[in-house]
Amino acid sequence: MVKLQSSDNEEFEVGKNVAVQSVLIKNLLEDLGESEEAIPLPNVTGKVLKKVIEYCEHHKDDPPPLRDDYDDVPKRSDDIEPWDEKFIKVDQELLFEILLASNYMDIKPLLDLGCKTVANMIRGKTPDEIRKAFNIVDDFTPEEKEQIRKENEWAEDR
Amino acid sequence: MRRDFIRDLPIELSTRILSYLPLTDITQSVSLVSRQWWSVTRSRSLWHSLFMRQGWKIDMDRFLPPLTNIPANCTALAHHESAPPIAPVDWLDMYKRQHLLQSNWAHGDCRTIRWPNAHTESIYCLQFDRHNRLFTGSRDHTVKVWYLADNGEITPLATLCAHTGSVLTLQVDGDTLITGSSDATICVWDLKTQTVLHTLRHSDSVLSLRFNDKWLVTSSKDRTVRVWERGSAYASSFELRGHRVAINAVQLVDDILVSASGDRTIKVWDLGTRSCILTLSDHTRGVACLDFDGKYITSGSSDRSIRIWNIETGQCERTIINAHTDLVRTIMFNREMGVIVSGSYDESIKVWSFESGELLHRIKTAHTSRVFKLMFDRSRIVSCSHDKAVTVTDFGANVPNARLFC
Repeated sequence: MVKLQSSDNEEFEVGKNVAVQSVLIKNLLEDLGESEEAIPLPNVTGKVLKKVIEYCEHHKDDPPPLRDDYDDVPKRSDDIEPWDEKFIKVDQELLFEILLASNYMDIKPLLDLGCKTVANMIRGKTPDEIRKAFNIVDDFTPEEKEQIRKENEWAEDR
Repeated sequence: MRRDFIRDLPIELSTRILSYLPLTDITQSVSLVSRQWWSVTRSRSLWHSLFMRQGWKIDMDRFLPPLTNIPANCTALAHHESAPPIAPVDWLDMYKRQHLLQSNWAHGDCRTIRWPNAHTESIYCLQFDRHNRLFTGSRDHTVKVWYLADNGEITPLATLCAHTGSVLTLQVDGDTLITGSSDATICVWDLKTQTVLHTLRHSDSVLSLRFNDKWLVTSSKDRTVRVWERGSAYASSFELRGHRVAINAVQLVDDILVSASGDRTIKVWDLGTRSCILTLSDHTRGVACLDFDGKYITSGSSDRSIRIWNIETGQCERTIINAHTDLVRTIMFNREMGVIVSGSYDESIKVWSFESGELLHRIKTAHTSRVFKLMFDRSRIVSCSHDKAVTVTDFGANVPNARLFC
């Protein structure tokens, strides 16, 4: 078993096979050896860590992700498994925190799940709809918008 | 509680998110949300990801300074000595160029440059490579080596003479050129010395050949396919029997060989076990040409159709009936580009969608007689014909440095 400690001093005890899905923790365990002491995760709150552990518990028996250009070539975003989809149905604040935590703890499949989820929230929407979805203020002048449209004309279908 | 993910996440996560989106979402929506979002859509890493996701590649050798003078020895072109200075790649610019190139293919926007009288007789076979070399084989018994410039100009570098009949087929890889002829022989050339290292034999015209590191496969009018072990300096070979008449075309991927015959069938062979593992027999007349990428076969026939086969299922997935108005003599496809290109005795070259079999474009001006062979890469088709001409059909004329893309 491995002990993890959140930024707000909450402790979690998890199986090693759960913990090592985080490359950060895997490397720590390899470098420092296993110990009774809890591993501190100063960037992750208890609420978020609990959620991250839930994900790692569910996926502890998954085969390791293929290393084929994982970083460079993102796969599709419409291939999310039903359990993952339900898992990631959280409010935007928690989703944001999960993204940061999975990036910090280096859990690629969870990071990808989060990124795909945000991408799917953007996909197919107009600029107005996107602003509404994420509460963003339109800070462009009409001239700037015209300029950007012009710059991006190359991408339009002939 | 709403959160502005793209503004507030580290840039590498914002670009990761956006790289899952289709191009038009980025250019028409994401870039117009806010100034922050716009600035993320201009990041180099985003366009790098989008570029890679398309399966596009850049030929890094092409970052070398252009060759200004042509060395007398053609193979010197194949060996750049100095390392190029590595400049940071502008991936948005690269993406735009590839996008334009792809759009040119889809819309048939190309420029045709004809080089008449490249040989004194019909030109049966050709190949060009990433080192700007073009090889052509002719009824005049010779193989010519050309410098194929980025602008489509061809300049003769060497003429290789050894055959006493038409040069019907050839393949080149680095310094090795292998040619097959109606004189029933196969010549293995060393391009550095421009000499023949080995001469191999069939009992009739050699119609097609392909080689990789392990095998040389030759097919003949004598109804046999012969497989030579390259490691044994061609001393060891075996025969594949099964076709009833001439074998017009072969294609090789690793240990899998496919062959097309006048007997209307295509056979798939496992060279490891030396056995035929599949026979495809939907063509209603002889099969004249084929291409194979390890999973799919495209074939052209004198029944005027093109067929697309999946060797994993053994099924013919699509048939383009009346693809041409005469025998389909040469075919090549690329699934990443999504195109099939075919050339016919009807004098035309046609570009097809691999996915739908839909005709994208017909190139009418390439040749004035039967098209015998064509080859294409990301930016151009090079073809040859009974009309003695070599034609370069360039889809990248309006794309700066289009030859970068492979």
